[in-house]
Amino acid sequence: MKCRLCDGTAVAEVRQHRMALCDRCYPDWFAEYTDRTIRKFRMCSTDERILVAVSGGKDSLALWDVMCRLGYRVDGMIVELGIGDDGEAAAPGEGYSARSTEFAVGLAEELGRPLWRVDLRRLLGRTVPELPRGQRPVCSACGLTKRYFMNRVAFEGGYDCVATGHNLDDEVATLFGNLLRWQEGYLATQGPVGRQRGRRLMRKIKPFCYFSERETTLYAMIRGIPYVREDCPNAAGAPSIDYKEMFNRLETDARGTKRRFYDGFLKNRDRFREEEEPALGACERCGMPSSIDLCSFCRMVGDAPIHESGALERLRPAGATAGPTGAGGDDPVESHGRKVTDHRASVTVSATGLPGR
Amino acid sequence: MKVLYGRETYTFERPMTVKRLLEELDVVPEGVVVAVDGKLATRDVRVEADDEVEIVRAISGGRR
Repeated sequence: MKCRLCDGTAVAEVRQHRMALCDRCYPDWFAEYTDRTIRKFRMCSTDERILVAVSGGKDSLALWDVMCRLGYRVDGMIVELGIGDDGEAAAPGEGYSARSTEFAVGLAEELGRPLWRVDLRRLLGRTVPELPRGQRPVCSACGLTKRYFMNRVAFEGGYDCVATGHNLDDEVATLFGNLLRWQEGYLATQGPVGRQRGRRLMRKIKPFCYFSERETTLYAMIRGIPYVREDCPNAAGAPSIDYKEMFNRLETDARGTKRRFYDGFLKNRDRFREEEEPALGACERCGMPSSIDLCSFCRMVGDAPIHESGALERLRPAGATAGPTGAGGDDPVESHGRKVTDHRASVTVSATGLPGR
Repeated sequence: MKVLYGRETYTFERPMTVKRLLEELDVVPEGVVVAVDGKLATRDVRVEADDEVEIVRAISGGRR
């Protein structure tokens, strides 16, 4: 196949857009399309301070990289979950979560951006597998923990919004799961932008909501971004993976199926909205948003040290310094008249702590 | 050719396209990225008998 843009040898087929691109054109197209999606849904501006929640996986690391290239002011945060760090398979600090953190730290150094590291073991005295989660599946406890800290770090760090690497496959699988169970409350709030409510429930954005998981993988590989390739040990048999495989089969037979399903949902989402949203107060223990006296996270973890005054203050990110020139070394590309910079190659930052808002 | 897919290794004697290889292994193309001798390859690329192929799963996820 030939590259649609330069006639070179294509390496990346983008079936939903009926095209293939070479390894030079693909990262620029990907960046431009990310920016277009950000603008379409009015997610954020280059004036705002953005916190990207990274996991060490391809999506979130690709997001951090591409948003920096586009000129957004993006710092990173990772919750060190302690998954796979116990048992015989790995010594503490050498398991799945530790390896994931290494990739996040590596990219932070290359981008020259600060990375918040929320170490659960240090903060709570226990890891995700050790949380007192009752009947809650471990992935549910993990998701709740990550959502809690991404919101809390964004609020306490003075950021304007939180960006996550959720892609089209994630969105479609979640939507399908919510429809199967007719969870109208979740359906009402799912989408590319989770709006800010009050001062403490931060806006959440998903700039990759129109990219397939395959397309984000291609970006990470072509840009030479190292990421954790192994599956989370807790994810085996997860329904979301079954849903994704099902949708990929549908997409193979009828391209555009996932995008039509998602866009159709977004057009009809308002019918799931309640006329009056439940009032949002503050959790009595941690002060984070909650519709009842204690937020879900505090109910799960009980009276953990996280509630001590200034607990997160002690986690302020160490300054990141620019590492060696990033792989790829692309020239800047144009996006809506704005230069897209390759921060991995050009930025030299030595930040300590967080700059003022 | 030697084909790495997850923790499995497969061997095929005859050349074929990436598309045909994925069909042989019953792998849905939308869920993977293919590299031939370390270079990303589209589905029309012909894989020779002495090539090494890696099929990288793109799907990740967890349980609600």
